[in-house]
Amino acid sequence: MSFLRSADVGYRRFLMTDRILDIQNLKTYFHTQEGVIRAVDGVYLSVRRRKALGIVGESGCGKSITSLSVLQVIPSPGRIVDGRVLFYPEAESDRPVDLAQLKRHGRELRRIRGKDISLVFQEPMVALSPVYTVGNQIIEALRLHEPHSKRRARELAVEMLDKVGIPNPDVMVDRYTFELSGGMRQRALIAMALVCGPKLLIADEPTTAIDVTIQAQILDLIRSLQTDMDMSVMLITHDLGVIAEMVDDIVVMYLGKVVESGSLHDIFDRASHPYTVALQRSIPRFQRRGQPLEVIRGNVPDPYTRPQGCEFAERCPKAMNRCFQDKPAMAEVGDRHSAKCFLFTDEVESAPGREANVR
Amino acid sequence: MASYIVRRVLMMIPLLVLVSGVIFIVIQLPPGDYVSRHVARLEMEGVVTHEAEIEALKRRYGLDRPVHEQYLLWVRAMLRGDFGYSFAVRRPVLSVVAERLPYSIIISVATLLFSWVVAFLVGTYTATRQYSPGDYIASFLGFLGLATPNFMLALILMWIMYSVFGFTVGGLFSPEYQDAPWTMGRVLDLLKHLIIPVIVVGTAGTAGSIRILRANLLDELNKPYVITAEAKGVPPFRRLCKYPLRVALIPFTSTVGWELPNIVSGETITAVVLSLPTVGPMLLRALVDQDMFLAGSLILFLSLLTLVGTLVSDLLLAWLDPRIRYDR
Amino acid sequence: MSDNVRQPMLELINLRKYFPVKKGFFRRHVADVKAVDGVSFSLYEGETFGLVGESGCGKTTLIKNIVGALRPTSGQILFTDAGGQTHDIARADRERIEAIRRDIQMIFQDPFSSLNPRMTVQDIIGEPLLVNEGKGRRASRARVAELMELVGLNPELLRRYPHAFSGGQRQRIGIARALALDPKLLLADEPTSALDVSVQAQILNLFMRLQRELNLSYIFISHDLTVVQHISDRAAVMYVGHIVETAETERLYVSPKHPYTEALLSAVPYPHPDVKKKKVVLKGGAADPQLLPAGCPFHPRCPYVEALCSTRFPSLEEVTESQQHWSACHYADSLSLRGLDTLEESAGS
Repeated sequence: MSFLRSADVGYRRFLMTDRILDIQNLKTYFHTQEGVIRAVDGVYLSVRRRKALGIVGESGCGKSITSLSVLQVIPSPGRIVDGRVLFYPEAESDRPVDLAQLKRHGRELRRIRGKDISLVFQEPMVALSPVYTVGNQIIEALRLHEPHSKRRARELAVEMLDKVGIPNPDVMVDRYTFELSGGMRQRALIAMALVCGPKLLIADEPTTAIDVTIQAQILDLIRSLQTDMDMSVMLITHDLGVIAEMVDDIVVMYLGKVVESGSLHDIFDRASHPYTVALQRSIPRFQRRGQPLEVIRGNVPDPYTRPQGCEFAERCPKAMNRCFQDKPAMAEVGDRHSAKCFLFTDEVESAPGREANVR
Repeated sequence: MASYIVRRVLMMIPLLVLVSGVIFIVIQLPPGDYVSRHVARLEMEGVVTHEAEIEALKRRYGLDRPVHEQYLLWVRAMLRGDFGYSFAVRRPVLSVVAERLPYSIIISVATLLFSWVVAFLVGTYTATRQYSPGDYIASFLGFLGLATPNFMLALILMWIMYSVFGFTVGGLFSPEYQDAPWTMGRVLDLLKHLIIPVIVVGTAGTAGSIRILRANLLDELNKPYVITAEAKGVPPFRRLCKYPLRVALIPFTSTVGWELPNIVSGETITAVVLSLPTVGPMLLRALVDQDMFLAGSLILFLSLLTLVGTLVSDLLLAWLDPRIRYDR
Repeated sequence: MSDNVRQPMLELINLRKYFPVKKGFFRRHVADVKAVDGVSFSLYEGETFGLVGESGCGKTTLIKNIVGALRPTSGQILFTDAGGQTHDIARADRERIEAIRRDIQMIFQDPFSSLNPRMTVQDIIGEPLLVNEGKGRRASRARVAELMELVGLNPELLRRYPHAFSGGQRQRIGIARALALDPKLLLADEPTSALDVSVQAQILNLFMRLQRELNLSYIFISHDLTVVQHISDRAAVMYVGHIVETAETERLYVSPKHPYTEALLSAVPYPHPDVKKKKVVLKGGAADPQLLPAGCPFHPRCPYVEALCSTRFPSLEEVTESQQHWSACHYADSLSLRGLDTLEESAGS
């Protein structure tokens, strides 16, 4: 465990529980003609077995790219440039697979994709191909990993559609996505992701594009399938309401970094990082109807430039002088609860060279 | 699907009627007709023509009647298979056309196939290897192809063929096969002669199609459904073909309809330079000579070709894209 | 100023907008999509009226009718201008609508596609001035700068193009453009849906400040109940073309009188883990406006459905025990439905 810094005691304790996924110092960069976008810039996080982890943050914080980096399905020209994505399929005592080390187009990674780890995308309208039937795409997912006959695969696909609550599954299996409503499409997408019985489900904004009453159905479904199928879940969302209902642990991201992590209650009752606090205060609430909402001043900086000091300093109400010069290290603020802020630590984030021993 | 095809075919009938009307108006637009031109030429040569003679000529071709009657006569005759008489060639239009149209069709279809295959391969390559040296080279050649006039390309290729391979180009057959019956040798000879016209006529269209396919595919490559496919473990090549390529082909396919007339009109100048026995040069001459029945029939055949082309592309589209199939 | 003296600035009376459905070879008119089917409400000066509902419920169609972009099938849209004159937008001619449009402006959801990327901010905001008052760039500069300042944009940026601005700033540009002609009424169609929560907060604050400073009235459309609740004085819930419930916002959220409102309120994920709501999870999706069920359009999904609901259409009636509160439910008076109030208290925030 030499890669862990002394300041990450809270983080280390957090790791004591059985993890299924452990991301360490993940960096995913996009090298474009205008410059380098550091979409994910040194992320640490873990998903506990059979638990749900929520990643929250606003657009551009790197939460989606983090989730796509797990399976290396990053849109071009994105690339993982550093870090580990350790996957423990059965138990943490096993030797992990470092997914970041596998070849993007290689067979090893393909065997894990869709089988052990599945991905459910936001906007089911575009996450399924419009020119193939729902069944075709589910059967494909199944037969890539399990040697079923076509007929058997179709039966299993129908069974899965039934399980996710699609009425008349034997008819719907032959439908195209444009013939389904938004909620049904999202169910079909979930059916496809779960048909091989994955151990970890990554859901990227699974309910963002759908109506609230349908969202309630889908969230219910994911929750019950998580228990039924003994899954771990990594849920990416900007919606603190969805997070509050769905997860056990939370990480908050800002500008490609995790700024706070902890249990659900840590984040909601004992939010420490000024960004987390501000984010929660900006949500309209019933009791303060009509009153001005608290806002975070300024804007997210453009993606090509990163501040020298703390990423949030420019917009932070509690910024001190040193916040503009140094980047704070992750500091323990409670049991399994840490925040990346000089309010809680004097330590500086380690220089890039220090991570040399990670790989 | 069946009802879609039937609907689509039935829709061609009013279109043809409309097109024939427009064609008739267009070929009637220039002042005078073939007979008056003929008479003028005779008079210039010093031949005295009698009023009665002229009237007889006009009556024979129905030129003395009002325009709408002439149109109806023309259409009625065509429905009986009589496409009229070419004043200039002095033969029935049908036999003139029958001699040349097949070669036009052969060249057009060959060009289209050539253009598709090349555009498909190069377009797919350049999109999946964006900004690679191969992409830049293909783009450069593509722009060169777009910018070079056809006749110039034809001349250059003729010169290269002649000086490097010692192969005389021009026409569609070598002299020994010119009037020979159809044999394997003649077919091979035809194919050999097709190479240059196809390249010349197809280059501009191919270059355009490469750009279209490349742009479409680039749009599709990072779409969520492609990432979903990757995330469920579909191998790269199969993923490319099954997912983004198929969708990218949809707009590509719809170009076939307007590619056909492009090819036919693009072919005219090439045909003149390469002395090809196709309808292009003949149409040009017929229009200049106001040889109305010939010109009208040729344009009508070409329009029919275009309509068939659009039909084929629509059917292909419906096959590729279920959203079109199920919309009706 | 008592209520019966106040005259509404906008009054919708039984508004209907049907879209014909054509099918078959000859494109016969086979049915109607009843996008808006008998909607009535009034809006007073300086007031915000919230419209909530799920996609396809007709809220966008409704406001398109109000700005005259769509012609209603039947009904009246009475608008009283600054001079006290009342016009029926539903029957006004083009010229009249153009004139009324100066008073009624729209703000769109997507700040990325609603601004022309090839125009500078100055030209975008100044466009209404150019079109309506013939003011060129020079004549309108001062006004544009003033508008930019008003919406919290730096007037020095007026030569920039939209791509140089963030989503929140673009929405501000859209608001400045809408304000250029001193409108009385703004119709905002999901103005914060494409924005992050922290930016949404800025824009909502801007809406509230502008209302105070300029005495504007808003019709505020959102699928997000928390947003509508925050900004609206009164609100209406729409379901497949009908208003199913309307009341003063607080009353609507605390003691809903329509099962659909209750379901919506309970479906919103609450941003605190201790709030364990007893959820009303509705079955299925919203009815297809082309194939509406007989009786109450909500009855196939309603957890409280009775025999009467599948046969008789419930009209919007005032609830007996709660004043200025209308519900389109046969059992509005007898059902006891849960609202939001109890939730926030248990959150202890």
